[in-house]
Amino acid sequence: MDTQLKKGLLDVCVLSVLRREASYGYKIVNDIAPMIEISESTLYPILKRLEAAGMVTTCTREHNGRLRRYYAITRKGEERIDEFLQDMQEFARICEIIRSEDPHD
Amino acid sequence: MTENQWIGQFKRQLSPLPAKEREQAAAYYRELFADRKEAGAEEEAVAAELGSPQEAAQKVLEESGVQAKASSPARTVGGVLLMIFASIPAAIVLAALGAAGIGLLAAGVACAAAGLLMTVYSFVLMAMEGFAGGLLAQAGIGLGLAAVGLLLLPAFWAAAKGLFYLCKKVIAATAKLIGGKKEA
Repeated sequence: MDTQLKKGLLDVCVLSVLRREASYGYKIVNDIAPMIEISESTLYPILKRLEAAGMVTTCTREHNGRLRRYYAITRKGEERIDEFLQDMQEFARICEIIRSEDPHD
Repeated sequence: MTENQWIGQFKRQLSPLPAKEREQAAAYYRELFADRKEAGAEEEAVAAELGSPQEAAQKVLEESGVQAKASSPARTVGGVLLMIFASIPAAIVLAALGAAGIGLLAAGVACAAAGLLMTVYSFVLMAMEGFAGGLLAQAGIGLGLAAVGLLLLPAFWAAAKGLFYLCKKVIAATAKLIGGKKEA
């Protein structure tokens, strides 16, 4: 996929995974895999960015004698997903125009 | 490589960041190591799958908007050395220019002063010992010298100002050279 396009998608993919339930790094990477390909090193900056934007909050929970950092979606994060879905409808409309104009069709 | 090696290299790359951010990023990756090992993976395999710690650090730095290469020790030392070595020739040029400027001024002043002194001395002698052709000639020469000094003084002054202006240019150029190199 085009890198620019993918960049726009990744944030929302992470948010949608967190919308199901609060999660931690390793699990987020695994749960995103069916949706889109993402590496651990790509995920971390995304989580930082979402947290800075107020779309995600974090807390630590104890697990097997160590601390795990959990990420949870906020109201703002959910609104971002809704906004994305609306953008996608617009996107689909434009796609349809481009496709219908395709001389090779 | 081992987890500690991976994390160590990762943290070293993150030295431009404040300690808190560096520790948070390291904690994220330590957690990944722990979770993967808990799922049965070997430490070396996890390190390999995570890829290069430098690349991972680069992504963190990009997100923080910091340049990775800015403050490696080698560059700082290089910057200081450059400052020292660039300053030496600049200092020499400045000193030479300064000396030349002062020298010109001094020459003009000396010429005028000597000439005036000579004239005055000649007239004093004439007043004391009576009129003498030689003394009059001497007075004339003195006046001539003073005139030359005085006439040339503005020229010397302009030349000295020009030289000091050159000094400023040399200082500015050197500073720019040093500053520019340090940013590189």
